[in-house]
Amino acid sequence: MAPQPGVPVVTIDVTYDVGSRVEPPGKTGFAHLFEHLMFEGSENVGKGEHFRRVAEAGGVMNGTTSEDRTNYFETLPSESLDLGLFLEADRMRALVLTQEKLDNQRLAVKEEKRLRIDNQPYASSFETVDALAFDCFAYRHPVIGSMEDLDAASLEDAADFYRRYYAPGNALLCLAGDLDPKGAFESVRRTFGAVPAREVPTPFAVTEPPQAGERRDERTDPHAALPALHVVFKAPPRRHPDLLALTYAEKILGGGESSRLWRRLVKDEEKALSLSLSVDERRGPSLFRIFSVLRPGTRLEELEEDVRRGLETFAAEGPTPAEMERARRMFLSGAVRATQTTQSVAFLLSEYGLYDRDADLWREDFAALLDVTAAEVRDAAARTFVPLRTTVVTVVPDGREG
Amino acid sequence: MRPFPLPPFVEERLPSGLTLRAARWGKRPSVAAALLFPGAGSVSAPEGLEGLAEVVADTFLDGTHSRSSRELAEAIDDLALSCDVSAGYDSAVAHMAILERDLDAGLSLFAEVLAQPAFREEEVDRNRRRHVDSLREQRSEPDFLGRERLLAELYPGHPYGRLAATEKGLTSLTAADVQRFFSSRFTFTNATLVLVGPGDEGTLLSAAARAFRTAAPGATPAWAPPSPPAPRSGLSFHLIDRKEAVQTNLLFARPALRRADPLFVAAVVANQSLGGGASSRLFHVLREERGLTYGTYSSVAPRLTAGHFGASIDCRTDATREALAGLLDLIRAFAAEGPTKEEHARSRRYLTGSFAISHETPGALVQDELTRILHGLPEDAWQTWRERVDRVTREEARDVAARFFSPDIGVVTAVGQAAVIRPVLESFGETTVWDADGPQV
Repeated sequence: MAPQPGVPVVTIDVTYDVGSRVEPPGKTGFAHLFEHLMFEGSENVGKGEHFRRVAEAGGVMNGTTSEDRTNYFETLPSESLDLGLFLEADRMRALVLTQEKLDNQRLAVKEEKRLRIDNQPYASSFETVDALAFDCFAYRHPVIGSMEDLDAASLEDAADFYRRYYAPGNALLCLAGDLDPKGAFESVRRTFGAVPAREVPTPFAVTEPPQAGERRDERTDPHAALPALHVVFKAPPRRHPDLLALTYAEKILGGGESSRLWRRLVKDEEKALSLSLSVDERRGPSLFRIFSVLRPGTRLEELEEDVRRGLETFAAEGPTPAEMERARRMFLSGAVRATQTTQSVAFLLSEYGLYDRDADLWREDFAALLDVTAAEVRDAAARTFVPLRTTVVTVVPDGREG
Repeated sequence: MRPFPLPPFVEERLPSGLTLRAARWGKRPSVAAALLFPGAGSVSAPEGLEGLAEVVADTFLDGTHSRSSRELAEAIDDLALSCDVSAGYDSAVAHMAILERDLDAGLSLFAEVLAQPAFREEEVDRNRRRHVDSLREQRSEPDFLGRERLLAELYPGHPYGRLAATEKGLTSLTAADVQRFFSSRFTFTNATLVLVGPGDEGTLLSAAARAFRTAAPGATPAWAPPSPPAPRSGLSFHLIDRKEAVQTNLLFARPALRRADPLFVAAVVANQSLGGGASSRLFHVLREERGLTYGTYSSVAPRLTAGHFGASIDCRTDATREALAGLLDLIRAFAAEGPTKEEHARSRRYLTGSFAISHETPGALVQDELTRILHGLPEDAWQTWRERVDRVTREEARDVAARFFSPDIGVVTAVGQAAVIRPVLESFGETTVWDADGPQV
């Protein structure tokens, strides 16, 4: 619970320790499809009522599913805290699943997949990257799943999934905002106290063999107008010292208009239309991603060579003191801005609370981030940006352009 | 209704004419600010130079009299200053955000960017080329194709009808055009700098006054907002052929009202009942009951001298007929009957209650203040917003829907496989088919 006096609003977040990583072959997309079913009504809440009751209270709500977890949240005027707690506890205790609801949400999710992935340029190439970079099925397959698996999902699957993963002992409740802690605890006891304990699933572990060589694939994209390039490196799990150091590499190489790779390839040499670097941080192995859409006239081989040479130089020489200082200031400023809302605070605390059983650990990690040295960044880059850990996916437009 | 008092803005005017407005808000040590230049948006670009406002906005960050593009980027990143300049339709806005402890240095650099831009020819050319290539990428996105055609048909021959720069405009413009647009439109005489942060308003004002004290006023821009577009009649259908599409993206829009219209608040309340969110009628019927879509929403989109009401639905190709008929039927019924008592009560409660949620950050207050100034809304427009929402009656919501939501007039666009959905569109009305690259087929 994170009381934050100020604007009279409160965010309630329930994060369940279940993500797409638990899905076996043949059941892909199920964790996310199930997230949709959680909004379809429970013993004391009819279909559509969840949306209506939150709106009537002047609140906003949603849920998100990632590879590693599923969360549900409401941000409400603080006097409506009890409503949010009731809605979350009621669906944790007594979700009502029907074939009609499953069929309805299956259609909605398939349309979501078309909207976000199948009908967009480049989107499916991110799925190719994951399928190629990871050996473990947990991370190889996309959160949204496949149309075939979504079609095959049954009501029995849903009931089983709920029983197995939506036990109170498999969830973390986090409250942030305008709260009176004593009163809020009483409300939580009154609502969630009535949810009976259920068996908690055994912890899920992702095991990934070390990558033994470079992997490549080329995709033809019917939606793309310009070629694109993914260069991706396998990286350690979240909270690993190398991953903290790699966040400096991300900033220094691609964060801000002065960053090395962005400046050179997008601005100065005009070889790329866009170039983004990101650390895709996961509980199991993470990925350091580079994605770039090429300018007309730039060859894929040329851009790949430029990117790889830029990374090699960085891994050999490391960052300059000025670059380190710049990155530190960006982290500090980013952290201040990212904790301005009750929702972002609740998300941050939920992640640490669920994954590490210590919501306050983020403070330690943030202090550690600011203490990272240039040598540590160089060494982490040298360990990560190596051919053996590289996955390259090129995207070639199909048809008129390219 | 629980009170939610917003802070008052304190104002000061510099000799250059620049108005400073500051308010105290937020608990985290970060300040948000924005400088509004009315009349520096895309509506002011001369015909044939479409894209000029966008290129000018971009090139601000490519160097000042004393710094090259790279030196400026380094100075901005050294401060972790978040800074951008963007061109809208009726105005251009420069935004910044900075840690409170770096406020003086951040504002000083922000002032340098806005008052002493270099607009070097090579940087103008660079940004021009990038815009041309970006257009090519944007044309591969279904949302862009739909909105481009929708606005062009809704505001024919009007600057509000242009979604993006045009290749022709971009290739025609020169560094001299950029300099001219800057000198005539980006003057401090009628600009306003809005600052919101957790500290004292006086401190914000004096920091801003120090940073901008040497900025020259510039000429008073003679800017008249664009005349309202000519009234239109009938409902027209446009199909943009995206041969490889696996979905149809449908948009509807029709003329509605400008932001300063006294009926705007009633339109917002009515829209909430119809398509404002997951508890609204469109979403409930078309997704939750009929499984036709992932999301379907409606909105009111005001400009300075006009505005439109719009709605969207994305559906599988073989459900195009059902989705479009469903969307138009629901809008038509809503325009005829208005919201139910329950819908109307829920919309009022949602809009009054969620106001606080959308105002947790200093940036949100800055955005509201920019809207208020640009559209000439009263000083207490946001202080009284929740009360005005709460006072909208069901009859007022029904009347505003009847007047501004009805699909008897307007434009429908469909982005999808023409080979499959053309007959579907034609069964609704005469349909014009367009190539995804732009020209009419």
